[in-house]
Amino acid sequence: MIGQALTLSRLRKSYGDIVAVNQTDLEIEAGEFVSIVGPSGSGKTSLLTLIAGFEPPSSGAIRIGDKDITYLPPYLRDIGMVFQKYALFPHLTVRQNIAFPLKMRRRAAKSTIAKRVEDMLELVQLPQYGDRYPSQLSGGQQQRVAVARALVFDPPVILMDEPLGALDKKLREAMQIEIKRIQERLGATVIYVTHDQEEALTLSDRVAVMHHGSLQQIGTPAELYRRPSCAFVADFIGAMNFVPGILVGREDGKHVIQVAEGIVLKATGGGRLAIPSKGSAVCLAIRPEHIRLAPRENNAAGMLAGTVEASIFVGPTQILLIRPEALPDVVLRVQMPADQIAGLERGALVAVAFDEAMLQAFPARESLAA
Amino acid sequence: MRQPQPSTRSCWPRARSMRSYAPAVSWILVAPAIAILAIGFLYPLLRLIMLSLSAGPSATYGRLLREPLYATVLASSIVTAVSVTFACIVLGYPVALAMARLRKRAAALTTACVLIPLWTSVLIRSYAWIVLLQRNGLINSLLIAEGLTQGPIKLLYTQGAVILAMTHVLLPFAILPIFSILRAVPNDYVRAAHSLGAGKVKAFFLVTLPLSLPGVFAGAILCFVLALGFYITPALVGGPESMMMASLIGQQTTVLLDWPFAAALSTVLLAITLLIVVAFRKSLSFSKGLSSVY
Ligand SMILES: Nc1ncnc2c1ncn2[C@@H]1O[C@H](COP(=O)(O)OP(=O)(O)OP(=O)(O)O)[C@@H](O)[C@H]1O
Ligand SMILES: [Mg+2]
Repeated sequence: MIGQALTLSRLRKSYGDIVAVNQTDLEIEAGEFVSIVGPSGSGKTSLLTLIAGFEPPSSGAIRIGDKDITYLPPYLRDIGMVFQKYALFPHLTVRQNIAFPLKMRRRAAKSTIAKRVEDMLELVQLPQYGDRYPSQLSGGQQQRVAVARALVFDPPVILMDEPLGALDKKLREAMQIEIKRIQERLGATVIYVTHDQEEALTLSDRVAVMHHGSLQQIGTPAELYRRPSCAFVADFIGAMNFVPGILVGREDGKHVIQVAEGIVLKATGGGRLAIPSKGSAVCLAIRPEHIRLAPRENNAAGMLAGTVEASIFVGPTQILLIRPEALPDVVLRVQMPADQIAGLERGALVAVAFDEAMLQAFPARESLAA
Repeated sequence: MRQPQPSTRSCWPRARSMRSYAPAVSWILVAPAIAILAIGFLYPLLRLIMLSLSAGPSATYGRLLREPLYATVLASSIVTAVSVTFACIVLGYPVALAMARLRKRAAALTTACVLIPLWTSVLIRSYAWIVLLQRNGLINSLLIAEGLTQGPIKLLYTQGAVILAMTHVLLPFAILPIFSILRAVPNDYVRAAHSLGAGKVKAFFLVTLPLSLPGVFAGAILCFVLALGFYITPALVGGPESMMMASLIGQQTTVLLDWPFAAALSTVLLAITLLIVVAFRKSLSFSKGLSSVY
């Protein structure tokens, strides 16, 4: 186990008026795999830049283990980094690239370095490519070399900035498994930046969501999915339906929300932000799989009448887009097993019901996620 | 469902392959250039070679070999050109590096300092050196005033003066190619070197410098070729012992009017220049990695 804990406290970075990273606190355990997701420009790369030490923070502190590294130059930090465009040295062979960090440290004898490089090539499954130049490798192979180079000197912390961004879907998935396998074997602490929330959910022990330079929430994939702390996270992680409404009261610790004339729903208060007072605008959030459908004739009390607008095939499940009659501005996304949608073609009249236990309410103003 | 936004990934600027054009279009596009080259360069070159042979090869090329003076001048021209090239690269590299690393306004200022001399006539810059270096020039006056020398020392009309003035004139030709390459090398390489444990000095010598070598070689070839054929500056600030090939050729054409011999000298100079450039390029293809980057 070579991983070490990483702690960011009140870390902040601004470029003039632009706040790239805003008062960020983050504690990552040794050996943990944490992903950072967020829309473009949310400050993910800036955060890694600070941790790697390429730029000094405006304020705050960074610690690895119990050592403060906030103002340590990058070459003394022992942090492995995989760059978005790999940044393999084009004038060095694969072998020389991987040996580079070992030679810089002068820790080992020549023969030990050679042995270590061969082991690393074996680990990333490129043993016969050692003498090639980076430009003679495919994107996926370059990526693996970049990973090998960042890992070879046993850094306690590894940063990866969208390392799979340039690869096609198939290769991406293969590389995800490979990265996870290597990380688990070496026990390194990894911070992994990605645009792709699915990738983050697959790989990570915990996922951090960034927006406008701030960490919105950090938690296990299941936590983020089930208990998003704000409408932004609810929207960003997985698919989510939002229904606007007005808070009309409280009952049994639940919010009573009117979404249309005569339609009232009960929801738990989602996240850390308190729902404002009675009469204020809120939005209800519900996952596609928590909406039930019934044929129109079985319309029971509490169900909304609607029309199927589209039916989208996505493999084992089918996605239906439904416009409720009472809520003409809302299109609900419903996901169900493909074998249960018989007769629900476009234009079919249906009734929908929300699983009220899964309904969450958020203040309306922040629901406008990017 | 929120789809990941496809990010716009800008690639490292790379010369686009011309293969995307139809061959006919390519030919039409290069035709004017070929025509100008053929009429203005190849044809005169052919005439030059024929002229050099018109009086019989032994009268021209034979004489070149028989009389040691010509070999001496040729050798000293090459030595001068190599020295100037070396000085240009050694002095130019730090300037190019500074230009590439400085912030906006300072970078603009240094760029101007490099470019303005380039736009000034070579004649003026050479005369400026005469003013500085002559017996009662600025430098000698200063040396005497400071008591560092008794009388004026001979600075002008020496090999040193030729190398100094030519280096000054040719410096921008070394700086600009190095600068443009340094600018094109992504910052990520240096950052990667740092994150892998290379300090500033090591990162420079192991990463920045090798990656900028194509610019160094381009600058070196440019300086060398220009220096080997330099006429005005050596003629003005050089003495008889620092005579360059170009002056020799000029002498034969305008004073001695021995055109066939002048043609032979020119042909030999051209051949040697080509030979050295080709040899240089060959020794350059040392790294497959680099050639595929640029
Ligand atoms: N060197 C810089 N100078 C000025 N502003 C910067 C600089 N680097 C980043 N920024 C700004 O900081 C903000 C965050 O940028 P950052 O690159 O961290 O985003 P990101 O989350 O990595 O985005 P992406 O997903 O597109 O890579 C952006 O608004 C960006 O314009
Ligand atoms: Mg980024």
